[in-house]
Amino acid sequence: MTVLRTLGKLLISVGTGVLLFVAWTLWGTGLSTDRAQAGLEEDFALQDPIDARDLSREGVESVSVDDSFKPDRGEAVFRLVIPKLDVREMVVEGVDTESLRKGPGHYPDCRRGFTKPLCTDQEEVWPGEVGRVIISGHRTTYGAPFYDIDRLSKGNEIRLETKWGDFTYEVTGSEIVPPNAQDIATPFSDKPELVLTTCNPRFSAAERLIVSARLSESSQ
Amino acid sequence: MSIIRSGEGPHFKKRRSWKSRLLELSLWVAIAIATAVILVMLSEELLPSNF
Repeated sequence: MTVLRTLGKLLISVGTGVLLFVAWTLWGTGLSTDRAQAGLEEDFALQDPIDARDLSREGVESVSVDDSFKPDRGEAVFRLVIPKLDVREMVVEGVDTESLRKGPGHYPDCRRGFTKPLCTDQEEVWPGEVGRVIISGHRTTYGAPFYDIDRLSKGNEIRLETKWGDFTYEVTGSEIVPPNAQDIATPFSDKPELVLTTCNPRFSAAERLIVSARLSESSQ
Repeated sequence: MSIIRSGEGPHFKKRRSWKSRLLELSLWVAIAIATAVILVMLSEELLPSNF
C-alpha cells in the first residue's frame, strides 16, 4: 500500500513537472522574446539610414538596396507590421533556431555565418527589391508572432518598415506545403514579393503555412 | 464482558508532524521542478526548430 501511494505521488509530481514545461514552452519563452524585441527596437532606432536606388519602371515599383548591407546573424533588419493581426515585430537576420527566438527571421543568402539549408544560394532579397522577401516566424512559442497568420486573406496589408523606406505589400493568397518544401525561395519572380512562413497546424510542425503578398506601395 | 489486552483491539495511526509533511511536500515539489528543468534542457531535441 505504501509503495502504491508513493508511486502515485511520484507520478503526480512528474506530471506537474510536465505541465510546468508546457507552460514554459507556450508562455515562458515569450518573455525572453519580449526582452529581445525591446533590445532590437533600440538597436534599430540607432541604425543609420541605408542607401537604396529607385529602379521603378512601368507599373512596377522597386528599389535596389546598397550591396554593402550585409547584417550579421540575429541583427535587427526591419520592422514587420500586420495591422489586421495587430502584429508589430522587429525582424532579425537569419532563420536559425537562435535567431527565431528573438523574433521573425529574414531568409539570408549563404554568406559567412549562415549555413544551408537555412540560407539561399540566390541573391538575398530585401523589402522593395524585385524577388521574394522571405520571413519565417514561430506560430506557438517564443512570442508566437505568426499565431494568427492563417486569418490573413487576399487584400490584407503587410508593411515592412526599413532604413531605406516603408513598403506595403498586399496579400495575394496562402497555401500549405510539406515542411521540407524548398521551392518557396527559388521560383523566379520579376516583381517585389513577400512570403511569410510558419508551422501548420498550430502546435505542430507537420506542415508549413505560406502567405504570399505583392508590393502595392512604397515610400522612401 | 471482554478484556482488551495491550497490543490488541483497533490500531490508530500515529499523526505525522507538520515538519515531516512539509519535508515530503518539498521533495515532491523539487521532483516536479527537476522534471520541468530537464524537459526545458531537452526541448531543443524535443521541439521542432520552428514550432
